[in-house]
Amino acid sequence: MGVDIIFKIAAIGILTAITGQILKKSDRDEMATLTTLAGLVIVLMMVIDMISRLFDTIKSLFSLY
Amino acid sequence: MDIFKICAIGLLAAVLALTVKQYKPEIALLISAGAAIIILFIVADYIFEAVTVLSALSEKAGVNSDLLSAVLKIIGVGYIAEFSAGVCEDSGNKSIGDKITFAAKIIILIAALPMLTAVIDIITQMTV
Repeated sequence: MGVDIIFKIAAIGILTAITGQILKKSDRDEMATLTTLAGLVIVLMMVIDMISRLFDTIKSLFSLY
Repeated sequence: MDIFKICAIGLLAAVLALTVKQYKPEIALLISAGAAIIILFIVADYIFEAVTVLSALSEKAGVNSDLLSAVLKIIGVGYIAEFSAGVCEDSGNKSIGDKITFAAKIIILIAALPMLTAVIDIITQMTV
Protein backbone atom coordinates (compact mmCIF):
# COMPACT_ATOMS: atom_id res chain seq x y z
CA MET A 1 0.00 0.00 0.00
CA GLY A 2 2.65 2.47 -0.97
CA VAL A 3 2.73 5.69 -2.93
CA ASP A 4 3.59 3.82 -6.12
CA ILE A 5 -0.07 3.00 -6.71
CA ILE A 6 -0.84 6.71 -7.10
CA PHE A 7 1.97 7.07 -9.62
CA LYS A 8 0.72 4.01 -11.50
CA ILE A 9 -2.82 5.40 -11.74
CA ALA A 10 -1.56 8.80 -12.89
CA ALA A 11 0.73 7.18 -15.46
CA ILE A 12 -2.12 5.08 -16.87
CA GLY A 13 -4.31 8.16 -17.05
CA ILE A 14 -1.77 10.21 -18.93
CA LEU A 15 -0.89 7.29 -21.24
CA THR A 16 -4.50 6.72 -22.19
CA ALA A 17 -4.94 10.42 -22.86
CA ILE A 18 -1.89 10.53 -25.14
CA THR A 19 -2.72 7.34 -27.03
CA GLY A 20 -6.27 8.62 -27.45
CA GLN A 21 -5.04 11.84 -29.01
CA ILE A 22 -2.56 10.00 -31.27
CA LEU A 23 -5.27 7.64 -32.46
CA LYS A 24 -7.63 10.59 -33.02
CA LYS A 25 -4.98 12.35 -35.14
CA SER A 26 -4.57 9.23 -37.32
CA ASP A 27 -8.41 9.39 -37.66
CA ARG A 28 -9.12 6.09 -35.80
CA ASP A 29 -11.66 7.60 -33.41
CA GLU A 30 -13.27 4.32 -32.37
CA MET A 31 -9.85 2.95 -31.34
CA ALA A 32 -9.29 6.11 -29.28
CA THR A 33 -12.49 5.63 -27.31
CA LEU A 34 -11.63 1.95 -26.84
CA THR A 35 -8.19 2.75 -25.42
CA THR A 36 -9.60 5.37 -23.05
CA LEU A 37 -12.20 2.85 -21.88
CA ALA A 38 -9.52 0.19 -21.42
CA GLY A 39 -7.37 2.56 -19.37
CA LEU A 40 -10.33 3.48 -17.22
CA VAL A 41 -11.20 -0.18 -16.62
CA ILE A 42 -7.63 -0.99 -15.56
CA VAL A 43 -7.54 1.92 -13.13
CA LEU A 44 -10.97 1.00 -11.81
CA MET A 45 -9.82 -2.57 -11.18
CA MET A 46 -6.86 -1.32 -9.15
CA VAL A 47 -8.91 1.14 -7.10
CA ILE A 48 -11.71 -1.35 -6.48
CA ASP A 49 -9.16 -3.86 -5.26
CA MET A 50 -7.77 -1.24 -2.84
CA ILE A 51 -11.28 -0.34 -1.67
CA SER A 52 -12.18 -3.96 -0.98
CA ARG A 53 -8.97 -4.45 0.99
CA LEU A 54 -9.69 -1.28 2.98
CA PHE A 55 -13.24 -2.41 3.77
CA ASP A 56 -11.97 -5.83 4.88
CA THR A 57 -9.43 -4.27 7.27
CA ILE A 58 -12.08 -1.91 8.63
CA LYS A 59 -14.47 -4.82 9.09
CA SER A 60 -11.89 -6.81 11.02
CA LEU A 61 -10.66 -3.77 12.94
CA PHE A 62 -14.05 -2.55 14.22
CA SER A 63 -15.74 -6.00 14.16
CA LEU A 64 -18.45 -4.47 11.97
CA TYR A 65 -20.06 -7.69 10.82
CA MET B 1 6.60 10.08 12.35
CA ASP B 2 3.91 9.00 9.92
CA ILE B 3 2.31 12.40 9.74
CA PHE B 4 4.96 13.57 7.27
CA LYS B 5 4.29 10.56 5.06
CA ILE B 6 0.56 11.23 5.16
CA CYS B 7 0.93 14.91 4.29
CA ALA B 8 3.37 14.10 1.49
CA ILE B 9 0.99 11.53 -0.01
CA GLY B 10 -1.92 13.95 0.23
CA LEU B 11 -0.13 16.84 -1.45
CA LEU B 12 1.36 14.57 -4.13
CA ALA B 13 -2.02 13.07 -4.96
CA ALA B 14 -3.63 16.51 -5.10
CA VAL B 15 -1.07 17.74 -7.62
CA LEU B 16 -1.25 14.53 -9.68
CA ALA B 17 -5.04 14.60 -9.69
CA LEU B 18 -4.96 18.18 -10.91
CA THR B 19 -2.58 17.43 -13.77
CA VAL B 20 -4.59 14.43 -14.92
CA LYS B 21 -7.90 16.26 -14.47
CA GLN B 22 -7.51 18.25 -17.67
CA TYR B 23 -7.06 15.08 -19.74
CA LYS B 24 -9.10 12.48 -17.86
CA PRO B 25 -11.32 13.86 -15.03
CA GLU B 26 -12.56 10.42 -14.00
CA ILE B 27 -9.02 9.10 -13.44
CA ALA B 28 -8.27 12.23 -11.38
CA LEU B 29 -11.15 11.24 -9.11
CA LEU B 30 -9.71 7.73 -8.82
CA ILE B 31 -6.30 9.17 -7.91
CA SER B 32 -7.82 11.16 -5.04
CA ALA B 33 -9.79 8.12 -3.90
CA GLY B 34 -6.61 6.01 -4.01
CA ALA B 35 -4.72 8.56 -1.94
CA ALA B 36 -7.53 8.61 0.63
CA ILE B 37 -7.39 4.82 0.85
CA ILE B 38 -3.61 4.80 1.36
CA ILE B 39 -3.88 7.39 4.14
CA LEU B 40 -6.63 5.36 5.82
CA PHE B 41 -4.42 2.27 5.64
CA ILE B 42 -1.57 4.11 7.35
CA VAL B 43 -3.92 5.26 10.12
CA ALA B 44 -5.47 1.78 10.49
CA ASP B 45 -2.40 0.53 12.43
CA TYR B 46 -2.80 3.30 15.02
CA ILE B 47 -6.48 2.51 15.35
CA PHE B 48 -5.67 -1.15 15.94
CA GLU B 49 -3.44 -0.19 18.88
CA ALA B 50 -6.13 2.14 20.25
CA VAL B 51 -8.75 -0.58 20.00
CA THR B 52 -6.62 -3.13 21.85
CA VAL B 53 -5.87 -0.64 24.66
CA LEU B 54 -9.55 0.32 24.86
CA SER B 55 -10.74 -3.25 25.13
CA ALA B 56 -8.10 -4.03 27.77
CA LEU B 57 -9.19 -0.99 29.79
CA SER B 58 -12.86 -1.83 29.45
CA GLU B 59 -12.29 -5.39 30.71
CA LYS B 60 -10.35 -4.05 33.71
CA ALA B 61 -13.07 -1.48 34.45
CA GLY B 62 -15.72 -4.18 34.20
CA VAL B 63 -17.68 -2.46 31.41
CA ASN B 64 -19.61 -5.20 29.59
CA SER B 65 -18.19 -5.74 26.14
CA ASP B 66 -21.29 -5.06 24.02
CA LEU B 67 -21.14 -1.37 24.97
CA LEU B 68 -17.56 -1.20 23.73
CA SER B 69 -18.46 -3.08 20.55
CA ALA B 70 -21.27 -0.58 19.96
CA VAL B 71 -18.79 2.29 20.31
CA LEU B 72 -16.38 0.56 17.92
CA LYS B 73 -19.19 -0.05 15.45
CA ILE B 74 -20.11 3.64 15.54
CA ILE B 75 -16.52 4.69 14.94
CA GLY B 76 -16.21 2.21 12.06
CA VAL B 77 -19.42 3.38 10.40
CA GLY B 78 -18.29 6.98 10.75
CA TYR B 79 -14.86 6.10 9.36
CA ILE B 80 -16.19 4.46 6.21
CA ALA B 81 -19.09 6.87 5.61
CA GLU B 82 -16.84 9.90 5.87
CA PHE B 83 -14.38 8.39 3.37
CA SER B 84 -17.01 7.51 0.75
CA ALA B 85 -18.95 10.75 1.22
CA GLY B 86 -15.71 12.66 0.66
CA VAL B 87 -14.98 10.80 -2.56
CA CYS B 88 -18.55 11.39 -3.80
CA GLU B 89 -18.28 15.11 -3.04
CA ASP B 90 -14.91 15.23 -4.82
CA SER B 91 -16.52 13.89 -7.93
CA GLY B 92 -19.00 16.74 -7.85
CA ASN B 93 -22.25 15.03 -6.93
CA LYS B 94 -22.64 16.40 -3.44
CA SER B 95 -26.15 14.99 -3.07
CA ILE B 96 -24.89 11.39 -3.05
CA GLY B 97 -22.33 12.31 -0.39
CA ASP B 98 -25.05 13.91 1.73
CA LYS B 99 -27.22 10.81 1.35
CA ILE B 100 -24.32 8.63 2.54
CA THR B 101 -23.72 10.82 5.59
CA PHE B 102 -27.44 10.88 6.33
CA ALA B 103 -27.65 7.08 6.15
CA ALA B 104 -24.56 6.79 8.35
CA LYS B 105 -26.22 9.01 10.97
CA ILE B 106 -29.26 6.73 11.00
CA ILE B 107 -27.08 3.60 11.34
CA ILE B 108 -25.13 5.24 14.17
CA LEU B 109 -28.40 6.13 15.91
CA ILE B 110 -29.51 2.51 15.69
CA ALA B 111 -26.14 1.31 17.02
CA ALA B 112 -26.33 3.79 19.93
CA LEU B 113 -29.81 2.70 21.07
CA PRO B 114 -28.61 -0.10 23.43
CA MET B 115 -26.37 2.39 25.20
CA LEU B 116 -29.31 4.72 25.64
CA THR B 117 -31.42 1.96 27.17
CA ALA B 118 -28.54 1.00 29.45
CA VAL B 119 -28.27 4.56 30.75
CA ILE B 120 -32.03 4.81 31.25
CA ASP B 121 -32.04 1.52 33.17
CA ILE B 122 -29.23 2.72 35.45
CA ILE B 123 -31.08 5.98 36.13
CA THR B 124 -34.36 4.26 36.92
CA GLN B 125 -32.59 1.81 39.26
CA MET B 126 -31.00 4.76 41.09
CA THR B 127 -34.29 6.61 41.57
CA VAL B 128 -36.22 3.53 42.79
